[in-house]
Amino acid sequence: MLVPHVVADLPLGINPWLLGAQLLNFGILYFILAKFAFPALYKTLDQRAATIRQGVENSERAKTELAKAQQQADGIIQAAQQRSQQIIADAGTAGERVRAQIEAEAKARAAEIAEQNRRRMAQEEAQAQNALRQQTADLAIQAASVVVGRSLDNSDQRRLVEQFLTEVR
Amino acid sequence: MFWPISHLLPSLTGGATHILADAGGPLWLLPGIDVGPTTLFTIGPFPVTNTLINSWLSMIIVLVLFLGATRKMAIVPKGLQNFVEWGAGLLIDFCEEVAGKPWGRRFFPFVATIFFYLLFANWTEIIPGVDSLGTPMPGTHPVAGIFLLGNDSNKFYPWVRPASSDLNFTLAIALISVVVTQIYGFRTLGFRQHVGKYLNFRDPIGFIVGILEIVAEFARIISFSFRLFGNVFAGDVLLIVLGTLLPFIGPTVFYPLELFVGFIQAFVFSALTLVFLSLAITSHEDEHASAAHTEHSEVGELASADAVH
Amino acid sequence: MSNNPSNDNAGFYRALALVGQVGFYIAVPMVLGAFLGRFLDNALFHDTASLATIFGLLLGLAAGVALVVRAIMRLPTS
Repeated sequence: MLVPHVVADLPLGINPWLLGAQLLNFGILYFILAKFAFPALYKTLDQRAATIRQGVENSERAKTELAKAQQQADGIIQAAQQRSQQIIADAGTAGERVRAQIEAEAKARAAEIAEQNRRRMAQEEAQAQNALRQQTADLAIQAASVVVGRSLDNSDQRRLVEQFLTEVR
Repeated sequence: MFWPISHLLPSLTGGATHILADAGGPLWLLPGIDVGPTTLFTIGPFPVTNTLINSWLSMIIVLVLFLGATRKMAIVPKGLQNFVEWGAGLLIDFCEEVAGKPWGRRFFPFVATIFFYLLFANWTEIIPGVDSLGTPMPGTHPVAGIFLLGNDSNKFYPWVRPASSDLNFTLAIALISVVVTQIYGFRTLGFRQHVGKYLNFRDPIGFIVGILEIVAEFARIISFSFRLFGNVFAGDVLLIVLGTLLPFIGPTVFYPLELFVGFIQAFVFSALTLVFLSLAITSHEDEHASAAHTEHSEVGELASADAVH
Repeated sequence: MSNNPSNDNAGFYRALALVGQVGFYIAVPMVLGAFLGRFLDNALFHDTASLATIFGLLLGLAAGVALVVRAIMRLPTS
């Protein structure tokens, strides 16, 4: 241990020992950093870059997939809308058809009922005419019997009266 | 064989300073300025100086930061790792930008070692106690056993002094920078092409340019080492002078400037090293094709600027 | 090309060369001013209250700032 003093082996304080020591210092520092610190640093930076790239790619892919799904959903919704419209339209025509059918049936039924009524009335009229004719014939025969005074042969009478009545009518 | 300015101009520092003038003499003196570092003790022929201690301190800081940050690295960084990664990441980007991607990565460890080593070697200048704690010179009378006042106030040997204010330190790193650049040149271009940059016998103009290149290489060692030394040494002395004239307040005002200067010097040194590295791996023909001469004139400018100071 | 930074970044390196001198520009005039002032304090004013030292320091600061400003003015505008 010496008393401290200012180094001035060469002008400006340059000293071969110190120069060598500083060269060595730098060498040691570089060696340790290059061997232990920087490789780890690079590894982490690369890893992170890869992770980030992956993340970006993933999100990109997710985005395209989302867009695709959206498109699909849109397609499905559109198809459904079309289908529902179709169904509504179909339902309209079907209803129309049913209505027309019902109407036609109702008309036909009404016409049938009217025809039946007309036919029954005609029948009843004919029956009534028949009955009237027979009564009239009976009355005429009775009246003629009274007039003639005797009873006419039944079959002859009847034939005559009926002939008469047919002519009258 | 001393080179202290105080010896050349004894009257500058020999007089007394009356910060608080009283009959008992001055309270402080302006510091004696020695360009050379102070040997604290010797191991055999080997002198251990206050700047050497500072360079070990800087090494330890860099190693603790980097080994601490890269010991258990996480994909999502936090704390120290985040901080170191941020700084190193910026530097990696810069290297890749200047030298191209593959070369930038190969240069980065070297450039980063220079940058961070210099950064902390420069910044130690603002640590309180650096330049102001030391061993009293013989014949002084410390007050209360530890304080040097009055005529004794600049008579001590500081234990720690910024490494970058020692030419041994800056010259060593400048030498390493230039030599490593040459090694890359030889390894990448091959012996013939690399030497051909400096010795060109095909035409006289090429020959002179080659000789100038050789001179530029040596000028670069001087330029690198003296720019760093000059800036940090001047800043260091400024802080000491201000600390003497206006303790606490004076230096504090200039701490931001010195932090900036320390950073810039570290960056200039490493950035220029990177630039010369990327020029060294470029062949002469490519170099001509580009405006690489701008760079060389830049060096000339820097070198001449140093020569002026 | 990425291999040749000089081409497009000349302005950047010029600026770098300037800021590389800022520490020098500021610190040297101040230190010189302080020591000149100290010399004047001793020689002329017979060791009075360090006025010349402080004046020299401030003068140095002004000179340093002027140097930096001048250097910035010289930068090519880009």
